[in-house]
Amino acid sequence: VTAPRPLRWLVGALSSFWLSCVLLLLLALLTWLGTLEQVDNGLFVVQKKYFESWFLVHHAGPVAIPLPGATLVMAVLFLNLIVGGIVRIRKGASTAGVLVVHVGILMLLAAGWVKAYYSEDGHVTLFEGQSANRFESYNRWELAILQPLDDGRLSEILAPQEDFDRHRDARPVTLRSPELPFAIELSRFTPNARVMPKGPMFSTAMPVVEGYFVDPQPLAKENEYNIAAVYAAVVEPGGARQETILYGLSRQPWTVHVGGREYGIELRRETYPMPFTIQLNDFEKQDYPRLNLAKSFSSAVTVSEPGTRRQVTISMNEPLRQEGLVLYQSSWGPSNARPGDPLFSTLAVVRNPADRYPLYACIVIATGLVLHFSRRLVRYMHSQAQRAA
Amino acid sequence: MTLIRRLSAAGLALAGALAGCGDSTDSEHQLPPSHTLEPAGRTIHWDASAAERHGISASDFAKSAGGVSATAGAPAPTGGAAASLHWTTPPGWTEKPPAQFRDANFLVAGDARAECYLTTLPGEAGGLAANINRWRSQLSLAPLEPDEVAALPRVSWLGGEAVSLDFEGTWSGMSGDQSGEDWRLVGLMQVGHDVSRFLKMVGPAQVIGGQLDSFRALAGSFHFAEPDADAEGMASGDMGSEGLDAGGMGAPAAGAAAAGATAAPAEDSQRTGSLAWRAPAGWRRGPEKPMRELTYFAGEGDRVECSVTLLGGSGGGLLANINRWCGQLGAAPLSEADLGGLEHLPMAGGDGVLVRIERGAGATAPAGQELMLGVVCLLPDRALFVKMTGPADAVDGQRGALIGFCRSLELLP
Repeated sequence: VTAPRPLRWLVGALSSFWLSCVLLLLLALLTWLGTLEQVDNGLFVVQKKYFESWFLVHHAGPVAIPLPGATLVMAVLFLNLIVGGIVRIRKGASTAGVLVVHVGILMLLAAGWVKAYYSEDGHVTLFEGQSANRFESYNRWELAILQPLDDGRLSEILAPQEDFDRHRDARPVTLRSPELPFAIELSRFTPNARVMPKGPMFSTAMPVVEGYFVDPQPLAKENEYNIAAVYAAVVEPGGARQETILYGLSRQPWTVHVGGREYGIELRRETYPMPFTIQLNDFEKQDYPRLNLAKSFSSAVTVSEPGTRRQVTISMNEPLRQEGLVLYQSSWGPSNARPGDPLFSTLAVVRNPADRYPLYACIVIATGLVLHFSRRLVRYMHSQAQRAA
Repeated sequence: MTLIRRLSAAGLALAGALAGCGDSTDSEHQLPPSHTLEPAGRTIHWDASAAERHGISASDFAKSAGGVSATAGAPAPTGGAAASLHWTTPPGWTEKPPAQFRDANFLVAGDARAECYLTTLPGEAGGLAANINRWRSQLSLAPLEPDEVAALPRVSWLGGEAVSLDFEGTWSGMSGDQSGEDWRLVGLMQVGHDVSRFLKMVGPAQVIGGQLDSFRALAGSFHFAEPDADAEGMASGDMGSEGLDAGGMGAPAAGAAAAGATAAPAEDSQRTGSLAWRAPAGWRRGPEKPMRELTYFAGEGDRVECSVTLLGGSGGGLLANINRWCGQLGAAPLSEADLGGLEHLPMAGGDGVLVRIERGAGATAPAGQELMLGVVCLLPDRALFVKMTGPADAVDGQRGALIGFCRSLELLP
């Protein structure tokens, strides 16, 4: 049975060795351009533009160059490897090693895909004695509507950043929930801002609410330094409005009372639950002699789960792996602390289902290469022996 | 089929497949269901005010900018925070409550159109020229060129140099929404790295012209002082008005540099909430800074700075702190054995250790800090640090004063 012509054509295109070469060159080109642009625009922006995109336009001076994004390139490369490197490759002892190598590369690409779409990363920052059962994103924002419950817990409704971050002007987006006796209107989302008290000596184009206004700031190169703000209004069914400014650095939620109940609303870094509570017992920092430069630092923590507690020390090269999360010793502060000042410890937290895939993929690739080149070596030695005979 | 054609076709196919993936632009979203959680490690303060939530208010702004007290009065200024700014309200003026960006706020000569106020902002607040030209724009005047700004008269004010300003024009208001013919703006502008201060009197020229002496008196009365040192502070204010006269509102003169005319004189016995001390003659109180109990400038200018820091516990210990200072000045660290050779002095009910550190290669301290005289006094529950830095000769010249200052320090319960 002969396959239809379009299918044969598609398989031929996708299994092309030349396509592999073009894709690998494109990946190299994107990596190079992204690295150059990172100098000006920071890691987050470059990752989004070059690596987490399907298409992009690179500006080389005044010239705009359309390019495929790394997501597209790697998706096509994945198909190319399957079709060309596994399905259509000649099967036999001579290609067994190559086949295994292709499987390893596919595993690497799959690990990247899982990391890109299914991982969460952030940090938890604690002073000694403090504890947390959540970690927060470096980059993403969310709106949280909190309600205290009688048992001391909180009820929480979350709106992801995508729900409101496109509303940069006065036109609001309205968020509703059947569990809430009000709607929330958000407008003038500002990705990097200061919230300032309005003084008499200047005017501002932004609305002044409760004596404050949002002062937009240029975007910082490193996205984690950008602090968002948004104008918010709670609108009750009868039309009554309460307005405020929600700011990413606010220390406490905005409290509204509606229908005899109390609600807290805050703009905050996206937070993710941890299946355990971590408490920082002791943070230890050792400096290089005569320098205010940390040589090593570690955090002694207690990890609590229902029914169990254990003491763990997390240091720079010894992360804590627990229930799918990896907690690395990341940094500490305040950087200008003097001797005797309390210090905080920052633990980077990563939830990546494909955490170990790259290791496994490298083992598979190494096995394939050993198989392939061992066979080549044996054949070479055999032919040399024959020639000598 | 060539590779190019194959790639183009594949790209078109993929683009077509992705074409349906557009962004939603709807203006209404349904929120997901709620979930419950234990707020581990978090204490929520319900009903927090806007100032508490944002962590900044106008008064915070003023406090961080230079420790301005919002209270004052004539003839005896009322108490404010330690090391706060005090003043004397001129006769015939009415003091109004402080407002946002107005740390001291006055109605001038009972005329509702004329007002005077002091604004304190952190940092350079946009810079000298920009602020001068902002004031000029409020009077519908053209901006000054840099050389014209540089040529403006300078006067001594609050321990530093201020630019004296006197403009007349058509008042357009701060937001450009007012109007007034023949208005006059008289002011002092002191722009510094850490803090900037603006004293401004504005109103109809006829009214302002009759209040210049009162303005000078008010400007000269501003001083940093402890609540119980007000009497001396007021004396300095009287002197200050003379200094400002020399600089002149609209009367620039060589005498503008009547150095120290408005600087607070050497303060005698003083105290804050945690410390009491006697400041040596010729020392001037500096602005409040984070982590410091006190800052003084010794001698002329601000090249020799002396700071006092009080920490809980041992503050890291004697050797660690001395070697931290050595690191800042790029000097070789001391060993435990070296500590035995250091000078001791009784202070604050304990034993202070005096160390002299000369600047070496690799110093991270700002240029100009050639020498440091540091005193560490470890007490049972607290640690007191006194540090003097500046040019070597000047610091060595203040050594006796520093020791006297340290001996006078007392920790209050």
